[in-house]
Amino acid sequence: MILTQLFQSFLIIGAGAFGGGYATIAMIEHEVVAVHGWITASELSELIAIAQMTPGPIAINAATYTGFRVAGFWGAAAATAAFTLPSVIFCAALIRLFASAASVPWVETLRKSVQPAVAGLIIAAVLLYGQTSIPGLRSAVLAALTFAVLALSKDKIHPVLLVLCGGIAGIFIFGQPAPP
Amino acid sequence: MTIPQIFTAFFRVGALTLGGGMAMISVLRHEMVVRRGWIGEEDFTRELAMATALPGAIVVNFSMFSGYRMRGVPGAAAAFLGAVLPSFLAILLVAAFLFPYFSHPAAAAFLRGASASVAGLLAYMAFTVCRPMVARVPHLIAALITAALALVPGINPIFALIIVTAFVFRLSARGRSKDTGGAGDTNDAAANGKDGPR
Repeated sequence: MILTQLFQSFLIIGAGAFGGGYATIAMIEHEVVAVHGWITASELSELIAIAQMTPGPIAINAATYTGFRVAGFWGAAAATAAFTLPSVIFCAALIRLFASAASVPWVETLRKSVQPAVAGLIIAAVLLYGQTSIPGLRSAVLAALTFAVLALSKDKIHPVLLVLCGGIAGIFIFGQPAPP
Repeated sequence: MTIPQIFTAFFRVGALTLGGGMAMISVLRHEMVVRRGWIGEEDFTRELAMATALPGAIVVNFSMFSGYRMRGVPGAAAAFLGAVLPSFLAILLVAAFLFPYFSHPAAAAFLRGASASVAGLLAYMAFTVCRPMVARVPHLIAALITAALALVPGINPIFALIIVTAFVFRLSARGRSKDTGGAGDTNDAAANGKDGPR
């Protein structure tokens, strides 16, 4: 049954994908392209493009889209549910742990100790994103402008509005018809 | 915050934010920490740290932690659905109807500009969000080592996370036993006072 296989695969992906969207895509590449051959390598690049350009978490986008490609609506539902199930279990377990062990000193130390590594994972995720979304000088200028406006406006400007401005600027900067 | 408010807040951010879960985190921070004060700065940092340390989509994990803190299990469920549903629905829409339009020159140019802009947004987020996590120099070094390890292709970042966390844990555990209440422990002490799941 393709749906149960999809569910199983995305359960594995959901339990193993650490570090955000790109880690998830790497896992999908392994499970879905290499192991099962459900989608081809060129469909995978389409998948990445769609996951990046659609609103929402890249990992959820990628899971939903793969499920949809493989088995339609129910495939999308199975993949998304399976991908998020480990998250739900791990979060519930951690909430339980901290509720029952709140006064144990080493638990608090552990919670603090994970923060530098987490900061590293966030930095890595941001660098990975930058690597794909800043292919040239003009993109770099747009990114730097966004950063500068955010830093100087002291959180007065809504980030979604800025991204929208970036997109509109993109139409003018990148939108010229290519020379024949 | 009521349950519908929690759902709507996460749904709105999920539906409007291009650039993935990290971008959603920075928009959530803007809306819920900076603007409305629904989430305290410390809660935000701590819950983001836990969310990142677990597998899966970071913003989905984050939604459950902060939903749970605000309104228990129903709050966690509302936040979870709010974070996942827009993405699910948007992908169905894109896969079924919209994908051909992505390659339209104007749309492609818009997306290129928007994603460059998102890179700037993420850099700003990393700057503001990571600062409290690496308050001391050894922590900053630990963070950079983790980032470098996580960027090596073929290594699951979980190994970087475990190794570096174990190292920092040993470091702070030793600091604690050496001088209880010393300079190194001020962070922990402050957190101890305010933490505690409800």
